[in-house]
Amino acid sequence: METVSEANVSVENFSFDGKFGEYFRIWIVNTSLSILTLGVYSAWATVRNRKYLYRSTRLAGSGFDFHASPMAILKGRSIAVFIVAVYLGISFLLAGAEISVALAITLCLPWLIVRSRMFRLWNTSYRNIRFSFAPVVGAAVRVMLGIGLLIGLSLGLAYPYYKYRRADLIVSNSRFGNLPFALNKLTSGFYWRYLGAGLALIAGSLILSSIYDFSAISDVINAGQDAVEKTVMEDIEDLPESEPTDEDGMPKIDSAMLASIGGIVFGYILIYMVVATYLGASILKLVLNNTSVGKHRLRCNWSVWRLVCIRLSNFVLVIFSLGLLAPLATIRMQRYQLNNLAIEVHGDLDEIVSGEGLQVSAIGDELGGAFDFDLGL
Amino acid sequence: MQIDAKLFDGQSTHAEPITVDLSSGQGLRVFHSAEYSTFYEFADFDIEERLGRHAAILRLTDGTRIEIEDAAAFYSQLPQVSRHSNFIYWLESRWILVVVAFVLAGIVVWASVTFGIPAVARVSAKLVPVEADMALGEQGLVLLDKSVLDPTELDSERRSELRELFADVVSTLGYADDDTKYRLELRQGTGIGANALALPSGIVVLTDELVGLAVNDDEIAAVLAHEVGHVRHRHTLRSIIQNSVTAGVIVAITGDVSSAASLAAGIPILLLERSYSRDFEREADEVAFLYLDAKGIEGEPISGLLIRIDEHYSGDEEGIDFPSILDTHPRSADRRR
Repeated sequence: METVSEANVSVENFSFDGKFGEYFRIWIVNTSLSILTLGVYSAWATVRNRKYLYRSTRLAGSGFDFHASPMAILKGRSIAVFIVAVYLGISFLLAGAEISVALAITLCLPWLIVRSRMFRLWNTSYRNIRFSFAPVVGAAVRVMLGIGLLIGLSLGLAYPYYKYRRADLIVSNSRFGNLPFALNKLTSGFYWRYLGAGLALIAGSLILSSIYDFSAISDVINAGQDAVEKTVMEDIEDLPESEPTDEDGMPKIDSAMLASIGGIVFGYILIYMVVATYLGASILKLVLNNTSVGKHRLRCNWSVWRLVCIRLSNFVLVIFSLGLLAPLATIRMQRYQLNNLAIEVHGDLDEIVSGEGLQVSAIGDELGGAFDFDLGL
Repeated sequence: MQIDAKLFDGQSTHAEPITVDLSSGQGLRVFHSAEYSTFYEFADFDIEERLGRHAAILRLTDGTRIEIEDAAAFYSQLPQVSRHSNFIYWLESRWILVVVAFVLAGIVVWASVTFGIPAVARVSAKLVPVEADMALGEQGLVLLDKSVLDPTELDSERRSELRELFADVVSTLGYADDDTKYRLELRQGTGIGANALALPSGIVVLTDELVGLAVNDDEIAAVLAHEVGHVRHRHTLRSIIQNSVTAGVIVAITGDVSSAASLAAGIPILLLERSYSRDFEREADEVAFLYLDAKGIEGEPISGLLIRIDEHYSGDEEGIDFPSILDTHPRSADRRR
């Protein structure tokens, strides 16, 4: 039996053939048109950019495609902008009310995530067969609110389990045509990775504090508080920032101290970014490696460190070009991720038939984007 | 001429190799094999807008998709009349047009940042009732009292003098009948030193330290007039509106880009915020000058006071010099003119 099934197994590599020069032109023209139309065109720009990226993603001689209608995105985006404006208005006029609004939005998160997935997947196709996502709001409520509550009760210990269940929710309810996606049980894999990240953070902080004078940290905290307080004031007459009064014995900040505070803050940001990026990439790799589509299994050959390097250098690239090189960052990331992803095909990729799907509005997707919710894994 | 293509029927992932022929000029002939072909008029299918060097994509009304890898060959054979508007593709495929679009967009960004957004904030601030400012101001004062302010240590005689001075500033400026009720709060500026603050509900906070550094009441009056200017022009509300509008516009435009890019977008927001508040300072200064002119006070009392505050706080140590664009307030030297 073993030999028979092996004879049927082949490996197909994903590839990404998007070119920077080409994507840059598309991106800049569409971004410029969005600006010239005061944002109205941005829905068309989104579709066009995404179409380019999807069509550049190739598997077994065919590309993917993105089908969302710009009008649907424009409607969703308008509603999202309206809701954000109401949110800002409420939090401005009624202090304290923003907490209940934020709570209400959190309660909507399961619905948002499901609608967002439904919209994204139904508008994605490969060889003219659509992906889809089951309308499982009930399951999403159980995972995101039920297990979410457990995080608080367990003082955060349930967090990796929650993340695993969330990934499972997203993967297992996806379909390509009539083929369901499935995810292996990964609870311990998630826990080990979170544990590693936690230890790395602690080790990093210890190294950092041995380099810099620890007493400076309390000054950092004070400076932080000052900064927060200053934002509530309308007006501070000509007082250079972070210079405390010398009368009540607070230390004057000289440039040496400033440098060491800067070093610590920068060091923490860097450590946090590296650890968070590494954790995110290794979790994604774990999930992909344990995902199957019908009988076919994904194989993810990423080097997590390479991915961290690409992400961090992308960050620098985008910051120092004031966002202009964002398309280059996108291309670099997609190229590495897709060129190192493969699918182990058991049988034939040719025989997948279409399944059921539901066209939904873009509100969930756009609202999630507007509030910057992470609706992915 | 026949062009190789692939047909996907939408029922399965199977790719059927076909060839297509446009030479009739009336529509598209699809050859499934040498013997078997079907014909579609131009009205029977959609041609997707061309994108980069990707395949040309046709969609038949029954959901069938035809991908033509050699897009250049396909488009060159397409009769002029049936060519869909490929305006965006045309823009995207020429570097010179890309540059033109980019420059135009830059001009629009610059114009809306310099004129558009402040104008929107000015108009929409008028629509917000004055009562809305109240909560903001009262809460602000409570917060300040908890954190950086302490009760004043001035004697009661001096306190009532300063209150009279404040009332005089307001009435001299002709603001006494405003909807906003201007109110002076005297405090010890434990955490903020010699300072004066304006809160949106009409509260002006003056610290003992500033009173102490002033050589005469004209200086204090000028500072109070400046703060009243902030309240009068509703700078807090306007800056909140401006910052939200700026952030909203940036989100709308870059809606799709990665979080790294939105972080990069935060930098211009920060710089804009600073430059907007410098405009507010100038507006408040104008009110101060209005008061000084009305009173016939010669010279610029604010300048003298600012020099003293500067000297008092910089002492003999080197002050930390921030780049001036990051400074909310115009440098003292700037303002002294």
